[in-house]
Amino acid sequence: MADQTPSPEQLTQVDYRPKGKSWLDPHVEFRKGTYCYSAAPKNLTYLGLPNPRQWQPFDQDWKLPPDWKDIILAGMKERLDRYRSFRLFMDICVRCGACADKCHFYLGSGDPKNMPVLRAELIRSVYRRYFTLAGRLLGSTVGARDLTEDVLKEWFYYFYQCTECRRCSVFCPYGIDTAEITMIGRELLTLVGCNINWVIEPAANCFRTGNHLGIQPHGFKDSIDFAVDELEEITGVRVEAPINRKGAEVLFVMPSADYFGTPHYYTLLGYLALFHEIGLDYTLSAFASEGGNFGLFTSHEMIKRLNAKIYAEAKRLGVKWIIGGECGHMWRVMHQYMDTMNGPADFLEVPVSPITHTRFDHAASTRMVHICEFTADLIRHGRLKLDVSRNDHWNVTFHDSCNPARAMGLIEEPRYIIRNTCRTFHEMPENTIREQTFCCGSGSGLGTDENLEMRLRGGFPRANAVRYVRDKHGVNVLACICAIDKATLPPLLEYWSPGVDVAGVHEFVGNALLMKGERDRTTDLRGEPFASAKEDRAHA
Amino acid sequence: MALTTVSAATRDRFLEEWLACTLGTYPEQTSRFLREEPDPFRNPVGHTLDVSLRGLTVELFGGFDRARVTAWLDPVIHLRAVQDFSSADAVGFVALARCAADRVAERGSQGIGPGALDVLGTRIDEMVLIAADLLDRCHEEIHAIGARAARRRVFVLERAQARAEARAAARGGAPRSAPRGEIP
Repeated sequence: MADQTPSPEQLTQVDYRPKGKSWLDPHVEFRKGTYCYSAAPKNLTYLGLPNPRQWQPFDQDWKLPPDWKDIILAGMKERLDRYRSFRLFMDICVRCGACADKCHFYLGSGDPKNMPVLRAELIRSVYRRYFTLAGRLLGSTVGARDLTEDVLKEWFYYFYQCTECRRCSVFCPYGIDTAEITMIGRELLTLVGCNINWVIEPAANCFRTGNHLGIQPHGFKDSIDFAVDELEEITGVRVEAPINRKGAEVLFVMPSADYFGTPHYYTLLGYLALFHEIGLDYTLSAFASEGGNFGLFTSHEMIKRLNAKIYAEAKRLGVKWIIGGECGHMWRVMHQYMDTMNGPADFLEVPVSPITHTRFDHAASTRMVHICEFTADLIRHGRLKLDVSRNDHWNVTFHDSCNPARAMGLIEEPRYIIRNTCRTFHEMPENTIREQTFCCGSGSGLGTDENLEMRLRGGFPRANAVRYVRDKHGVNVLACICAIDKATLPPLLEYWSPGVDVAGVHEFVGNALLMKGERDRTTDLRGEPFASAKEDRAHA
Repeated sequence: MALTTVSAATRDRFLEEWLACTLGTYPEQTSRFLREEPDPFRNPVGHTLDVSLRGLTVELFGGFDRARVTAWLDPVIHLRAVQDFSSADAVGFVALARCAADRVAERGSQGIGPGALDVLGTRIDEMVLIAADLLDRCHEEIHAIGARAARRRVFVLERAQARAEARAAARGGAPRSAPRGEIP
């Protein structure tokens, strides 16, 4: 046997450069930490979705139906006929590159297929091959390619790397909404049973119990009662939190993470304190116990199914209008789909604040107002007594959550609330906030543990801007109004910008709010001493 | 020390070469963007690489303070630990400094002399080892972050459950079953 030992000369000839790869090669490697696990069969079955089976993305055999290719192409044709926008987005891109460097996943990973134009090209190339004359005749010379299993796996890999944040669409001169292309891509994948559990399990739970965790009505009541108890321990004030109360003026709907997640929970305490203090006639619903809608990450049909409970509960309880809590994609659904999918809500009234009598005409159709709009209006009319010094331990910056900022234009109201409840506030650089805000990197159902490495890549541009204000201004808290943000920004900042906490805007309201009959408070809603209490202790 | 006599122009050439080699570890379409976009918020990866490699070059040709080298390496390792690199490729950019040094040395009298090249090589080797330690720490950090995130998800539920149990014990009964129902 020949001696395989390398010579000293060979040992010094080390090529340190990683192997390159052509972007035309559809093969993707499912490395741990960079993909989400597949949907469990029981969840697909519960929702009546196709091809429930045991499989994982790293398997060689995805156990696709024998006619999977026909199913995908038929699904594509159906959607091209149904959605004019989809056909338009397939045809009009001129590859100007304006979107290329706008995606946080591209900026964080450096993977060219995360350029929005190239991600869309993954599906556009198949459209060309099967639905255009040029593609059918000339094939790859006009950028067309066959639909193969490798291409399908590539779709799965990259369409579950897009958070549907729509930052790229802000810069597209043709108005192409790449998030909608991703949505169609995921719909097509769902037709052959290729979806992820972190989306499908919450959707199945939501369809069954009204919320993502599958919490049943008695569990929902226990959670709210616990929050009422804790708020009393902190403030000395016992508040009411009515559930399923018929005849209330307002139905309040929040993301379920508000009553079980941290730091979301402190936002819930803020809502409860606020509603009590202004004497709002409201009710929660144990069935509409979730504002979030993971249908948005599955299919248009699923959005409609999961959203239906909001108006149904409003009707059953006989309320006049609806307030929605701090949530991101919930507001994309409420603002852009709910009215046409499950409306018209003609049994409700145009929202009018019972405290300030402001009429929210912008919600004349949906009859649903964002809690930040409602609270900003209260502050504007001087209807809240606030002690801003109670938030002096926080040096705040604000992350515009993608959906409220870009899908509904809610940009000034949260800032107005923060400026009126906190004394120290610093903006991140202009090209990282407002309409240009960077995504947390975990939206659209990607916030799962097994995908953490990918999330840290995608969230880097956001965390980089946070780090900048931390270093320059000493910022120690990142405020946001999205439940997914509140769950996924803490890990992101622990990695990239340690020392910066995450909080909801109504946590600051709850801290600053002077409540009638409250005890001499020394701690915030987290049980942490106010800055003034810390100083007193230091002087003692 | 032979390295301190290396001219500023040569050090700049070394940095340029090293940066080019490192950017070359990214796909071609990306490396151009990482090199050319100057805005640190539009191009956080390129900016991080530029600032860190600049700092490391100063250390390589200067005092080579281990704490400062670690501080300059840390942001890049944090990046490459979560990008699509194997562990070897994640720290391999440090070893690419050798290629950069060789290329500059090839330019003769304007480059780096043989004595200086030996010292530089030793320092680069040491830097690779520091980078490997940092990478290891990043992986541990990612696991710890995942564990803390899981903890945050049950923080409220655990306290609520403890309270329910305490109340049930005071009544002499058992707490209600967990509120979450599973899909059968």
